[in-house]
Amino acid sequence: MRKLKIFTTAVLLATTPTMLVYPQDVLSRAVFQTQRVHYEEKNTQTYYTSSYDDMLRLLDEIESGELEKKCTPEELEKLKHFVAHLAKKGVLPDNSEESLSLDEDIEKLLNGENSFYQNAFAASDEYQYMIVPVVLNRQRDVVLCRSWVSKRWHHTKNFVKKHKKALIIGAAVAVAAAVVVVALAASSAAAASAAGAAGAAASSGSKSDKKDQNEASSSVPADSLPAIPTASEASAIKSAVDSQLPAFKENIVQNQFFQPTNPAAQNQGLSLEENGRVLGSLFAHDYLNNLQHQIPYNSGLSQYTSPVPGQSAMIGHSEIDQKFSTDYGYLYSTPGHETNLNTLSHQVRGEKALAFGYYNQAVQDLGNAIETNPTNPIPYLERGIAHFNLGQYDRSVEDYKQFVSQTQKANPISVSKFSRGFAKGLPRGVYESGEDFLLFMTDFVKHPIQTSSQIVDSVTTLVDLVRKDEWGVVAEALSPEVYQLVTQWDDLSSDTRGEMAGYALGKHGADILVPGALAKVATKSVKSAQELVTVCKNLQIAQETLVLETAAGLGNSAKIAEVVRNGQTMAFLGEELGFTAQEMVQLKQAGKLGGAINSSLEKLVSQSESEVYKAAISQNKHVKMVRDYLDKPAKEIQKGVNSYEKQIALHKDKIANPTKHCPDWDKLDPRQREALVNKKWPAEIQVYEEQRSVLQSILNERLAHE
Amino acid sequence: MNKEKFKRYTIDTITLLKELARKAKAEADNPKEDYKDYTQGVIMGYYSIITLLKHEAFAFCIDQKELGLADIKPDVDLLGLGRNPDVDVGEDNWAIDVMHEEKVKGYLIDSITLLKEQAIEAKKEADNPKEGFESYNRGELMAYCSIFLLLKNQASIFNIDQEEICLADINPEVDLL
Repeated sequence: MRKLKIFTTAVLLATTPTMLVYPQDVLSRAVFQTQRVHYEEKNTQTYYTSSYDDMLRLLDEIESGELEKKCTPEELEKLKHFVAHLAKKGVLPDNSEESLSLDEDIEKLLNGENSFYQNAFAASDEYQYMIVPVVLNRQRDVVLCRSWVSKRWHHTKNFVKKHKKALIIGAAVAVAAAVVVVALAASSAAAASAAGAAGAAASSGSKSDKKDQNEASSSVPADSLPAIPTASEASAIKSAVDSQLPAFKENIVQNQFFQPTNPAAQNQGLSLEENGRVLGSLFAHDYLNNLQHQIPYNSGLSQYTSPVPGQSAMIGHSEIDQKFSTDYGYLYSTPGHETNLNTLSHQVRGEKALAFGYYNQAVQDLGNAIETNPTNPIPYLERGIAHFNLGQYDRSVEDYKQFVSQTQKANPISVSKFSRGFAKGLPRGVYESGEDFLLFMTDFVKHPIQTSSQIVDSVTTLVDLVRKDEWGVVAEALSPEVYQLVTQWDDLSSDTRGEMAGYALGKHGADILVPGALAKVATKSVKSAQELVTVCKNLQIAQETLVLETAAGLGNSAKIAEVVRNGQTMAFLGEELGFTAQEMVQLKQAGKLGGAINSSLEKLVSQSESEVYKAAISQNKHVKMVRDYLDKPAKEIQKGVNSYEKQIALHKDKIANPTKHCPDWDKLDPRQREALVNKKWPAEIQVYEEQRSVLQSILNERLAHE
Repeated sequence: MNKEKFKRYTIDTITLLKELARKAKAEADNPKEDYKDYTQGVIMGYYSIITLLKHEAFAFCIDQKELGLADIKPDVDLLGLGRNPDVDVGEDNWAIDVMHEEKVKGYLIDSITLLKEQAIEAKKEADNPKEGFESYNRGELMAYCSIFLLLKNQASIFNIDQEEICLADINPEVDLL
């Protein structure tokens, strides 16, 4: 792993030369991971391996002024060059004012009239006591006046603000270019390692156990990485990546990926940063995929890397996802999945917008994805969910029908029984999870064939994964309900399978993995981890299918709207009235939720009108007790009044005849005797009288209303 | 973690309160020299606190068994008084409701409001004690101080906002001691 990090750094240096000027000792160590690198065996210096988020943080810190506080003047000066480089790298080939002015702005930024070097060397009277140029032999380090740099830094901040789009694209491109090279080498290394291990085992005739062989074939022990390519080798791979950049940027311009979806509401869509993440990551995945296929035919590449077989290829995709904090690797490991960059860019942007709740943007992006590939069923389903959330139920049902027609296949013979079992098990799981929305939809889930078909596929994949898993880590990664289902799958009838699956999906949704378990699986087998991610994605699709399938089953859009509105109202009122999720679930399960909400509402209304309640609030005494009694039957309140009267009489009698009630009275400490008779018992009587009075007032109020 | 937090908070706090009261009783039964008056005052403080909590459970129709209050009789267990078997003390609730969170929260709020009143009263007496009551009154006040410290400490453990149960406006060390 260490070698990989070192190599990553070397590649970053090769692909982004200005990273050399990145300030190295002053940034927050929590943010940037440092790594001591032996680069070309000449120098030992400290550099940074940067992810896309690191780059975003850097830009944020420049804009907020945080970096100015942390860096020395020399470092700030160097950072300007880095920023200019990033902007140049990210500028789009469009004719926008922003792009056209970039060169001019860079010129001003680096060589403006207040250029440091001009000022430093001119050393006019004004500055001679403040700026001392110390040009060293090789490094050209200088000592700068902080106030002067601060003024200059203001220009850099404005530059970052003005060219944010170009900088973000530049950051995405720089990270993508670097990580593709690393990923290609990493996956190639895994393949070489696997081949080496298999060869060694075969030639030695070793009887090493199956587990060891398997480990060699599907996991990447850290030490198996090959020697790190030199900068010139990395550069050869990088030039292949660079050749694709113009097309990538052209694609961004043509599809207007960085334009606001709705210019009138600029905040109602994905931010520049999230757009950069999606597109940068997809670009890297796509290009890695292409390069892996080109290796055998490209002498420049094959000189440094080996052809990459299926599972080792995933390691490279995993590397990319790590650097971009994304999870798109599964798209390239699932056979038959859409891999066209343009279509995927629309689809993934749409999915992200859907997840963020930007439904209009989701509809637009997913619509574009459908336009570029009308046979891919997933965008229909997701656009249907976006329409559903916008209350456009007709359109959502239409999309759902398109999705079904694109996914038509022969259902397994057991799906019919499975689906009935699923409908039976689902509410139990939903009740336990307390998921508001599904809670009100489960009443209408009767025979979800489409959803069931997807669930059966997912569980079957899981069963295979567990069976093939030599380490037992996959089974351990599953939540208990899913584990039970998967391990008993073969012995269960179709309807029991359905019931257990319904329960598990209702309870966990697509979150079927124990927290943190995926990383453990990945340490043993990247392939298994990737397949688990795919299963989770498919379960998420199944969940979306369930919503639309149920909605479609309701008939017309008016009926769907009514069900959704009722569900939302009940959930809202329940929450407002102080019901916990668990209480709502229990009441719903018992069919009493509606009644309980109505009763609480009535109580709330009567409380707000009750004079007794108002008086209790104004005196800040027995407030909660009054509220507790307001909805009790009169008979019960009367009982309460009687009990208080009995207690009052009892305490009065105790004061009058303490020895009658307490045979050991005379043995008591005299101060305690005095306290009880003169203070405690009278105080208790007072509280009882207050409470009795409260109950009596509630009774009187009620009688007056009747 | 937050499921039924008020219920768990109340039950847990009452358990600890009973421990404190019983420990105080043991100390009062075998007091160190010069502490007899003080320990008697402490016992009286715990008597008042537990009696109040029992009364409020009664008022809210909460089962004392569920709260953990049924197994302590402050007059008998703390003051050492016997009871006349021929007199019905009638302390059981006339109706028992389900102890749901909102009810327990209400019980806590009303009880704490009354406890604060009692504590302030005890503070006044401790500040102006009658002759021979100096240590005794300080002991009683100490019991109130202990219960408020306990309530506050428990609130932070159970992640309960002190504002929510009317605890935020009292600082026992400053306001009482």
